[in-house]
Amino acid sequence: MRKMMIAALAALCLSACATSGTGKPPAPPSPIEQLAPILAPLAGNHVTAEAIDLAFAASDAALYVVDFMRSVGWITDGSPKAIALADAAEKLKGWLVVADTAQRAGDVLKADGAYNKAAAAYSLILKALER
Amino acid sequence: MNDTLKLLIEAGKSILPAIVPGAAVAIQIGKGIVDALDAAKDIGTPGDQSASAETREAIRAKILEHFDDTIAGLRGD
Repeated sequence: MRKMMIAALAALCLSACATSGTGKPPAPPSPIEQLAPILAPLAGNHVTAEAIDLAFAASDAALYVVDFMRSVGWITDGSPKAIALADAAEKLKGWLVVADTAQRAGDVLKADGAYNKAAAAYSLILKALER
Repeated sequence: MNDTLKLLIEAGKSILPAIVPGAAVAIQIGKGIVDALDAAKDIGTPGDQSASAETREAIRAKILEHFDDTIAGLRGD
């Protein structure tokens, strides 16, 4: 079940997901698959306010999963894994705030950079959950 | 509600079956996820810009508070 949760979170991640060939006819994209390109700043485009809103919502959802894993004992507060998650969450929060502030101020380059760092921090959370 | 946010809520709902095998606590958390995504539905509603901005700020504050609570819990504070 833990792997399924992480897979679900990964699908909600901030980076675009590439589809791989399986030899089967392509299935219609799920809502999650349709979301991926919206959440990711496409090459040549800049982060939008909507992308940042969705990134906040996806991060909130990830926090609920972390809370759940703590509540059932899969993560022990204060353990190395918990500290790694806390560090990653701290980074994610910080970069999302920077991206949001910069986007509102019209500083697109700073917003893009911060958004990408937020995406990297989100990946760190997923990696910590997999351990 | 715009199409992207509708899509986001549908995505949240599609996650639920994957993480809810019956445990009450899991159902609660799954509901939390959908609620978190559902809360975003008012953001960007065309029309009342000020109301939308207020809603956005309120949601942001709630999420940032959630960050703080979870981070403090993880550190064992």
